[in-house]
Amino acid sequence: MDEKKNFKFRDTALGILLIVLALCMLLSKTEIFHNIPVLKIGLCFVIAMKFMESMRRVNFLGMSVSLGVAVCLFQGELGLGEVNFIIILMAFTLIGVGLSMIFKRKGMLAYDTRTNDDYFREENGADTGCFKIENCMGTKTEYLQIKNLHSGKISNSLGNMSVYFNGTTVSEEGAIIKVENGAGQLSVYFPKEFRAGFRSTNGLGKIDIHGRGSVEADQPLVNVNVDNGLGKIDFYFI
Amino acid sequence: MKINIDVDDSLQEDRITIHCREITEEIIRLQRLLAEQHPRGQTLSAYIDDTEYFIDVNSVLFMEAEGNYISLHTTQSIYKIRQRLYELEELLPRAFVRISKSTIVNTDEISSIKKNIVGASEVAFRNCPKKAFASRNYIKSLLQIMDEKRLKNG
Repeated sequence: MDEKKNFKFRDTALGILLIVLALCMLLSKTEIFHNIPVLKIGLCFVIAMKFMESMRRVNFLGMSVSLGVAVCLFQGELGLGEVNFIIILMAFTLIGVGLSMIFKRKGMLAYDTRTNDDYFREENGADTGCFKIENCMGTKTEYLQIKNLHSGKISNSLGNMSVYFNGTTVSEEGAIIKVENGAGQLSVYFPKEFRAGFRSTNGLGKIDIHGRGSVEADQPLVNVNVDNGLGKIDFYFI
Repeated sequence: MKINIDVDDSLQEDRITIHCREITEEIIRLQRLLAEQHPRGQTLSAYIDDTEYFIDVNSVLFMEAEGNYISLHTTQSIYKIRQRLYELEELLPRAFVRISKSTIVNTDEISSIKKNIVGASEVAFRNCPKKAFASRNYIKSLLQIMDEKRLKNG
């Protein structure tokens, strides 16, 4: 429920800001606001909101890109008029990536049989039913075989990540999976037997769903909350 | 070495027999080459949970190493095999090519390669949405092999 309230609040705030920005764009050329940089002020609000959201999630890349855009807006005032805005953005992106790599928390797999020598003999034992996997840059593939899945998080920044859920079962109460992607490419493969519902927030990137999951009402529901920035996320039911 | 082809209508299926004085390396190479052209019957033993499956090698799209295990990807499933990738690589037909430290693909099943100068190139397969990624160190050799296949078929 809290999750839903947060989403609602964020969507409302973002919607209001976008409307304010649109009004600023319209009014910026009128006589009344001719000397006031209304558009810049509007953009500053959007950037500030993005920055605060990134700070709340401790997303260094989001914070640095927001700052980079702000610096581009005021590059004249900051004495960076000679610097190309692309270079400024790239510099802040690299700073964000560097900070993410320094301070990133290692992904934890609560149920990981990949290095278990008794894999073929192990019975389905107790587990927490949750997972957390992260990828910053680079290419990564994760195979998740979680019994009674009830929550998890997939986070990809700039790299390529593929996540397979073959062999995973969902708890009877259902499950919530958070999927976050920055500017990278993320592919998530669900078994066709999963019944999944998607809720997404997309920046300038792309989110695609390929195939169909189960539509049987007696199957536990997997709620997938997706947050995508500039990158691409593909969900497959195979 | 003399090469003869005998046409016999009465045969049920085509058969290749090598007559030689002794088994040499050249003969073994020839036998492997012929076997690779027609790799029927080559299967791999792999697992899903506790069930053992015997998978036709040609149906494998790609395989990925995870520690002591290898994940074999077919169109429909993922199987696990307890082996090192380099051990399996020596046994596989020539169509199987390494594209990164942890991945070997079946080049006969590749439908497209999306090149990336900066990072890993994306390899897509026929009739399946799964993808593998070829690192910059291996992409050139993969592209070379795909070029050779194209010239052969053309």
